[in-house]
Amino acid sequence: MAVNIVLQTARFGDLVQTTRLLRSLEGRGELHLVVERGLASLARLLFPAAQVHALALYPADEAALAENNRDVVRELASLGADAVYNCNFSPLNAAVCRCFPSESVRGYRPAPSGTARSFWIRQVFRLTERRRETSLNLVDVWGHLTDNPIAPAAVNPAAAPGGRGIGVTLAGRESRRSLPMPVLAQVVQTVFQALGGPPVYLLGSASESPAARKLLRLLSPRMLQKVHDLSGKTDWPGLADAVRGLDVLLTPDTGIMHLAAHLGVPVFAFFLSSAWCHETGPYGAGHYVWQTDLPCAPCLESAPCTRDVACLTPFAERGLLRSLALTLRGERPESSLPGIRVWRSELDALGTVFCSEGDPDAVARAALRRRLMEKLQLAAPLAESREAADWCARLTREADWMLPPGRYC
Amino acid sequence: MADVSLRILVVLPMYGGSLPIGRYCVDALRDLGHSVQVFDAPRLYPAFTGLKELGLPPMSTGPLENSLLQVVGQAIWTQVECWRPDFVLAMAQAPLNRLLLQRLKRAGIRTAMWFVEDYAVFDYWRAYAPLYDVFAVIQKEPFVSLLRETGQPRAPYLPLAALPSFHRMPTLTPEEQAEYGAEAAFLGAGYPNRRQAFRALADRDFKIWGSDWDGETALARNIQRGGARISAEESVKIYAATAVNINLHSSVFADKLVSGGDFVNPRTFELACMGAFQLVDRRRLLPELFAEDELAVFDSMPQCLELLEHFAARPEERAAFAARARARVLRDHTYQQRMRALLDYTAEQLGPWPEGGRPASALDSVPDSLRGALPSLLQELGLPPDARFDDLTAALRALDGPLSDIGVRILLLDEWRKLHGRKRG
Repeated sequence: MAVNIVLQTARFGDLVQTTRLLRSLEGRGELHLVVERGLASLARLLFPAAQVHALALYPADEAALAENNRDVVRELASLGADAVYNCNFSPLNAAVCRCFPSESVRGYRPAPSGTARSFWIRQVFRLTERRRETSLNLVDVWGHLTDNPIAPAAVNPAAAPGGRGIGVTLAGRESRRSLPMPVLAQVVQTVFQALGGPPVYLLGSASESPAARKLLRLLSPRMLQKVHDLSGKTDWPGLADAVRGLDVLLTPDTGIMHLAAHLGVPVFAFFLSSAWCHETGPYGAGHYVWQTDLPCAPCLESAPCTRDVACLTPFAERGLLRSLALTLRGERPESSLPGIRVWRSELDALGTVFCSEGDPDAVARAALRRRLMEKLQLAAPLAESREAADWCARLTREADWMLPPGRYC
Repeated sequence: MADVSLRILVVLPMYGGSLPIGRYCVDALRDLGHSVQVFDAPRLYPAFTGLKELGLPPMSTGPLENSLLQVVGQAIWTQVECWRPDFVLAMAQAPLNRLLLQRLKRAGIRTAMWFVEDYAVFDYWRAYAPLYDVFAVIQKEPFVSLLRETGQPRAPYLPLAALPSFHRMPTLTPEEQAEYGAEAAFLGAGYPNRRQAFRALADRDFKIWGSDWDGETALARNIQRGGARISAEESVKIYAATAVNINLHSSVFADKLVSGGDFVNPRTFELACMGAFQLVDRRRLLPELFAEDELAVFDSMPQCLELLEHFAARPEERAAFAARARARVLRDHTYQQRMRALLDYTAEQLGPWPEGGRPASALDSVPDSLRGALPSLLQELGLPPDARFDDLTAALRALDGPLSDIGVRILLLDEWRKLHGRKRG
């Protein structure tokens, strides 16, 4: 029986976004999932078909690192892996991958002086040179590390209201990527009214509890009896229970957002600053993203903002609330608000794609997806177009075709 | 100096006689406790030979070779940037171009070339010697004065040497003794003086090993394997199997068979280190390296033949010379000693090395749960028990195939330390 191993040692959201890869490997032999120890119980919950191995990557000191990883490294070294899917450009992962024959490692492969990338991963990195025109979800990036991944529609359940009310994610990891609390309060109240006053669940870790209290002070007294502050009160199973069956989740780009999509909860997401729905939007059809549409977006998370986080301003306009209400009523919202574009997720052969009427880059985006489909043999080549030729020129390096294929570098 | 452990990058040449010497230096520096990386230029040599084989017009090949050399230089610089060595040691003919040497100087990285060549034959030193911080040589005057005139005052005399761990007497099988053995033998390239000189030995039990003997019909019976190149590993077997090793220094001139030159070739030290007997031609710098009773020396080919007759019949005398020569090499002429001398000289001239103390060994710098398994891992990797952590991780990374769980945990610890900025062992 084949032994497949997936290394995903990044954060909560990244683990959830590995769903397509993991589900594709289910039934193809033994499936092992290596995660950071803090996410092991979530991994077991979300991916019961996988044997989960917990690495201690953030211990207090070296002694704990050496001691706490003794058994897991020994287990991994004894597995006799046929294929190892390393999802992270991480030197720690590269070290762990030395448990396995180099040629069995896909994605990011350890090299004597660093980490080498597969052709597919190198293509994905090249896309970052033109982020505004790209359209490739991270779930699909990792999903296509394996041959013949499951169909996009089989990754997550279809998004459908579950009748349990509204979920509100209090903050993302980067405060710059989250709505200011007064704006969030108005958003929550608007959705609350539009849905007829269902229960509202505030979601987040203990570090978001102050934000929860701040939000509670801004909500109308009539609402408060329906609001349940769960920040810091849920473990991983508790969080999944809290999200499962919601009618909608209001959220920035967060791990909870990906969890909601994983559970089929409709997502209304607000993407600003460095968040870009074409890369990390909620997976599956039927989710909505209100995405900053300023010339500087998407920015780099690591770079300081020189424009006083101008992308926050459009979200404070009344147009956003009207757009939300229209969407909840099942009416088609305006696709473009001042400084914001509204995107809806759909599926194609490649995976999840975000569409918006009047998208000025729609032709380039479609050409890119078509090109990627052709490279992945998901679609037959089409007649040449200027956009397709442009992407071909941008994504292809001479070494890609002058040197042997299948190289890691 | 003894307590300082440095990061040293040794840049090997792509080919030639200084290549094995460079590899011996790498071993010696590691033996001295330094962390050593190698720029393995021979791996890139096929690109140049392949270019030649394309049959392009020579006018075009030159610029293309220069372009390839630029790439080689960039690769060296990448290794420097990644590893930040304290010292770059280039062997003669190492592909460090002018631009790269200037960058190294600007980066504050000390450089030295060990020019293990005859300055009269290779004259690129005139342009390149001043670009190095130190330019070690195997000859004395007038070369040292000439170097000073070109702007290189730091030119220590660093004669060649041997590596005792490699140049030692092997145990030969009867088949090997039959294949390699002879009353007399010579191993080396077919320089004009040797071609002429060895004709006097053509009718004896005399074997010639090595390359560049093409067209030498008078010695056809003596030349082994059609003049194929002989590896360093095989050379040790040949030296061991031969009763009298003839060691005639090369000369491009055939009019003077025993040239009487100055520097002493590596073969002299290697044979001596092994305890193999040799007859060596007199060199001007030989007396300060070996005493009269340590090496049997000849001044002319007739004398060489006389000595061959004498020693071929007296194995006990051969053994006595060989033992004394070996003791001398072990005392004074190892690559470890040469490398220590070079580093000491560099520190004297340029100031102390940056590190104040020898880093802790890998054994002392890993957590308890890894320590128990480390001695056997170090042994497996051919590392000394006091190897430093850097050397251990470099050796693990260089291994092909999956590592043991202990190896993986060591690399995990190394990466974790880098991420968290911990002091490295």
